This record gives sequence, C-alpha cells and structure tokens, in this order.
Amino acid sequence: MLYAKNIEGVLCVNPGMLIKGQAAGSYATLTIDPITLPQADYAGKGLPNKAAERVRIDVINI
Amino acid sequence: MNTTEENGQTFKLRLNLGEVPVYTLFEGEVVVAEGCADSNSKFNVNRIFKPVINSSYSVPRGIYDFDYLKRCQTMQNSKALSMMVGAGPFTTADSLSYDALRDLLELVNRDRPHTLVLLGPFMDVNNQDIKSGDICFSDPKSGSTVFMDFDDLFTQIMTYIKTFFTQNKLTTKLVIVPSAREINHLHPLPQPAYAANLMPKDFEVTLLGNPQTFRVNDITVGVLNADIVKDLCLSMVAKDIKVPKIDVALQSVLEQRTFYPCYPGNPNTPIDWE
Repeated sequence: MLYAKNIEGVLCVNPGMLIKGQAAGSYATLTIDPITLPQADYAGKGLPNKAAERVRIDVINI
Repeated sequence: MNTTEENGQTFKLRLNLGEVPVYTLFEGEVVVAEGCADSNSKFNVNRIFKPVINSSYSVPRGIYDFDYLKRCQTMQNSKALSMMVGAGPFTTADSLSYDALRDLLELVNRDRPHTLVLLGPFMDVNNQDIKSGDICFSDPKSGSTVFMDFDDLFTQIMTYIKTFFTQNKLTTKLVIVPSAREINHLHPLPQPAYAANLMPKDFEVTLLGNPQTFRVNDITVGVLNADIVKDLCLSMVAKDIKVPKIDVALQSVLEQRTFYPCYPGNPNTPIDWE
C-alpha cells in the first residue's frame, strides 16, 4: 500500500520498494520549501514550523 | 484486554463492545475503556478513550525557537530542499544484479537531491542467491570467478555507491537505514546502524538505526523500515469507521507514540520487546 498522507500535521509516506517481486517498484521524493517567517520580531519566542504545509511528497514509479 | 504490568499483576478481561457505536482497536493498543463489569466476567464498554497526539513531549508540529527557524531560513536561501527515499530490496528475488540501485542512482544524478535516504535490505534474505549462500561474480578484468561472503558483498555495494558519487561529483548527503531482512545484520527491531567497518574508507554516509529520527534543517524525519501500517491493518478490528483503515493505522502510530505499536507483531518483523 503506497500512500502519502497528512495525519494531524504529521506527514506519513510509504515509498514502497524499488523492486516488487520481479517488477520495478517505486521511490519517493520530498521537496521542502523554505519557511516563511512573520515580519514581526519573535526573537526568543517559539513558533511552529508548519512542516506539513511546506513539504511536497511524490511517490514515483521507477 | 490486558491490564498494565505496573500493578505487579496482570489479568485479562473480556470486553463487550456492543454498546460502542464506532471503534477501532488493534492488538497491543493502549487505551482507556469506560464502562461497568457485569456478573458473567465481561466488561461492558460504553466509551473508549485514546491518547492525544500532540502533547508537550511528542513534538511532531512542536514549537521551534524563532532564531533557529530564522537560521534555517537563511541556510535554505529561498530554495527548496529535496530529499529522495528509496527502499530495498534492490534486486529481484532470483538475481543479484543491482539494476534498481543503478537506476535510482541515475535518477539521483539527474535530480541532484540534497539528501538521499536508502533503506535496506541490500542483501535480502529472501533472495535465492543469498539464501543459497553461493555468491560469486566473474571479475571483468581477469575473467576469473571471485567468491565472496556477505560482508564482502555488502562492502562491494557500498563501494559501488561511493564510486558513483565521486565519479559524478555528487554532493548529496547519503543516509542509510538498516533492515531486518538484511542477511548480515541479524538484529531484531530496534536495530543498530550498519557496521561502520563494512563501509569503504572516506565514505561520507550517515548510518542510522531502525527506527530512528533525524533532522534536515528544521524538519524532523522519523523513519521505520518495516510495514507497520500493513501489520496494524491486519490486526485491527473496526466498526463503522468513516475513514480508510490506513489513516486510522497512521493515526494510531502517532497516538501510541511508538513506531511499532502492534503487539505481538508480524512474525516477519522480528522485534525485541524488552
């Protein structure tokens, strides 16, 4: 079962296997966009990194 | 249902789930069941409570320091980071030609990702040649047949990857995760990393355990080289759920705060429970 899912802000992916039995399988690529930080000065404060909104996942057949 | 062992004793309880309209449960799941016991030794459940995902110490979408995020932003320099993930086996079950590994490396050379994560097995225990233990190849230079053991072959594969990286001047960071199906790595989960002395000299590689988490800038990546979702789906009992079982399984992994919450696990996934 191949999937790439966003579960409550956590990205879950199964890249599959490169070889499935005798046939070619799949792999995954992740593209992580740079974070957009607010203009205001948050120095010393904490922020979420919004990972789920910045990452694109592709599961590709080889 | 089993009670916890912390009480000094454990006892089993039969649950009557007839009153619960919607539920999913799997073997090994930690839950709280609310209800009442009746005379025929069954526990009539009214409600099932599950752990919440986002607590103060499990930080999948946690709070990061602003200055740290700012540093990561500067490091990324408004460009996207790319990561490629490929999982073994890299051979078909009846051969030891690493065509899939070569194809993947060609793709790495084409796309030039920042990080390449390779998950074992490189030498699958289910491979016929590995099973027979009869590994040899004919040396293209001398034409003679060379016999090798599993460690030799493993080093050979790693040398191949290293040579490919140097030949193509790849700056990709390589991360290698072990597998329970690796013939020369007979550790149950949780597994230590592959032995560093089997790696060729001056090979820049990050060897991880299985499972383990690592960070790419501010993004935390957790990796488990086992099919937990399949095992959970097989072990799960579900009633009237509206979402796919896969989603429930993934959610359970996060709720239970362990990479492998299923107990007992799949016999094909050896696990050390201690």
